[in-house]
Formats: sequence, structure tokens, C-alpha cells
Amino acid sequence: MNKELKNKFVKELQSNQGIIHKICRAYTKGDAQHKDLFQEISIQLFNAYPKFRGDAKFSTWMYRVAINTAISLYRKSKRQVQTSELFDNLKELEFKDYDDTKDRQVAMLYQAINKLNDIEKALVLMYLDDKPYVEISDVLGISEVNARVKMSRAKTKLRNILNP
Amino acid sequence: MMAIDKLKDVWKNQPISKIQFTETDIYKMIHKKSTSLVKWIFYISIIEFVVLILPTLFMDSPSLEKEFGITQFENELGIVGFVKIVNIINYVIIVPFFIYSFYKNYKNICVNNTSKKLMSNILKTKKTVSYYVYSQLFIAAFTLIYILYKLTLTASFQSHVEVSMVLVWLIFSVIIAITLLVVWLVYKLLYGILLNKLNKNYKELLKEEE
Repeated sequence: MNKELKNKFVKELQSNQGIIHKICRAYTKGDAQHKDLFQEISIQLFNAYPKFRGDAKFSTWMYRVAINTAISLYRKSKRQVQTSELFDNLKELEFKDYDDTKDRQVAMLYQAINKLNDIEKALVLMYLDDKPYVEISDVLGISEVNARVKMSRAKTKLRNILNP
Repeated sequence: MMAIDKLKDVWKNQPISKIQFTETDIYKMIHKKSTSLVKWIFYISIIEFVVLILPTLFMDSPSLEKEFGITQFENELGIVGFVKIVNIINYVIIVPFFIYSFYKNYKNICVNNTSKKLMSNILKTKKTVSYYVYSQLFIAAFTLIYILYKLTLTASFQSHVEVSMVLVWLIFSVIIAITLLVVWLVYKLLYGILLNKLNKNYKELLKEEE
């Protein structure tokens, strides 16, 4: 990849990094794993960038690669600290209406998402980001009908986790 | 009860991640080596290709003659010729076929694909290597059985070994079975650990599709 293209890639990735951070937070536990997954997604994006033809938006393409990396390619490395105990306290916290701070609500939502399986996480993330079903089915490679059925189950599961 | 749709508001108004990377950080990151599952499968496959080729390299005719003391007379039994033919078929047809298939499948793995396609391509690549391993095990077992069978026919074997042929074959079979079992177990364990997550996600994705 030439230098100009590389610079363009780095700039685009840097300015769109928010999307990847959301995915990393949903798929990992703790900052070390988060950074590790972010790095792997960046490498995968960089390697696939020459094949990105620009027929989709950079952010849409990035979403697909990031989800694929999280679901299929990422392997947790040993050096990461397990912080799962933080997430076991979820049931003790009640998702009260919207009295709490924004941070707390977001943290709870992520804690709940963290309890879903990898495919459900992908579905819920795309739902929360308002992705249309046609795009969801295209990212995952399943039919729209199947995506709707799976989404409905994932949402029910999420609701049950948040309102035990 | 909390409305699931309200979660979208929480989601959309979430503060930016406390972890943020600068362009310099990202520059450094993209030059690091990938530790993805595909890289692992690639390295392990290369090891498998190399390790399984090594024993057959030693099964050439001069070393057979030396190791087993196969004489000119015994050569007439066809052992050396047989091993030569098996090796030629293996190196000219079987091994190149698997290396080509592996390379082709590996190249097809692309993160730009849909999740389903990506997963199925990864599993296909791994399967190619499994089939390669099975083919090499089969060839090794088949060659070994053939050689042992021919050796038991020789006069020197029959005059030195006083146990019944049934027992001899029983021991051979047990040795071969144990070898296969050990290889199978190592294999299952290795890929079991490596592919556990992928297999689970692939099954989950395919569920309800039929």
C-alpha cells in the first residue's frame, strides 16, 4: 500500500474509531482485551483496505469487518486480565428508569449486551445503531426473515437480562 | 418493564469511549502482527504439512534396505518397488493437490465477506488440512501393513519368529490403532480449543435457516 493511501486509511480509521470502540466494549471484558480487539480489527481493516472499493461508505465497510473480526477471527490472548467478576453483579443493580447518570445507564446496557452470545451481540449492536434489516442480513450472510427471527429472540433475551 | 426501544436513546447518547487512539497509535497498531484465528490455522497447517512429509522422506529404498536388511531376494517381494510407487503418487499427486487446495481456500478467506461466508471458508481451509492428515495417515498405515505382510512371508522371518501369525498381526494392529488414536486425540484437542468459538458461532448463525 502506498504512503498516501496508508495515511488516508489511518485518518479515516482515527475519525471513525467510535464504531469500533462500541464493538470492542460489547465483545470484551476490560480495557486490555478492548485494546487487543481494537488492534486486531485495525490490522484486519488495514489488510482488507486495498479491496475496499468505496461502493459502500467507509463506516459501513468498517462495521462489517469489525463484526467479522469479533465473531470469527479474534482470539483472546493470555495476557488479558479477566474482569468477569464485575459483570456478575449485574443482577444486583436495578435498571431503574432514567434517574441514574448517563454513564451508569450505558454501563448497564453494555453489561447486559455482554451476557448475550456473539451472534446476538452483533444483532443487538446493529439494532441499536439503527441498521436496516437488509444491511444486517448482508453483514451476517443470513436471510432477512432469519435475521428478524433472531433479532426478536435477541431483544427478548436482552430485555430479560435488564428486567430480571 | 423497560421498553427496548428506549435503549436506543441510551445507546445514541453514550459518551465517547474513554479509550481513544491517535493517528500515531493507529499507525503503530496496523504494523503489528495479526494474532487472529486464521493466522493460527495457517501456522499449524504449515507445521502439519512439514511434519507429515518427514517420515515418508525416510522411506526411500536405500534406507529401507539398510534399516530392514532387505536383501536382493526380498526386494523381489516387491517392497522397494511398492514404496517407490506409493511415494511417487504421494509427492506428485496427493501432496501437491492438498497444498494447492489449502492455498486456494486460504486465499478465499476474506473479512469483506459476510460472516457466514467467512466462517465457512475458515472451516473449509481447516478441513483441507484434516483431509491431508487423514490421507497421510492412511498411506503410512497402508504401506506399513504391506511391508509387514511381505516380511512375514520371508523365510528369515518365519525361521526366527516362533509365535503364531495371529499374534503377530494382533500386535501390529494394536500398535497402528494406538498411533491413530493418539494422533486423533491430539488433533481433536488442538482444533477443539482453536475452533470452539467459531464452530459455536457458525452453528448459531445457521440455526433456524433450514
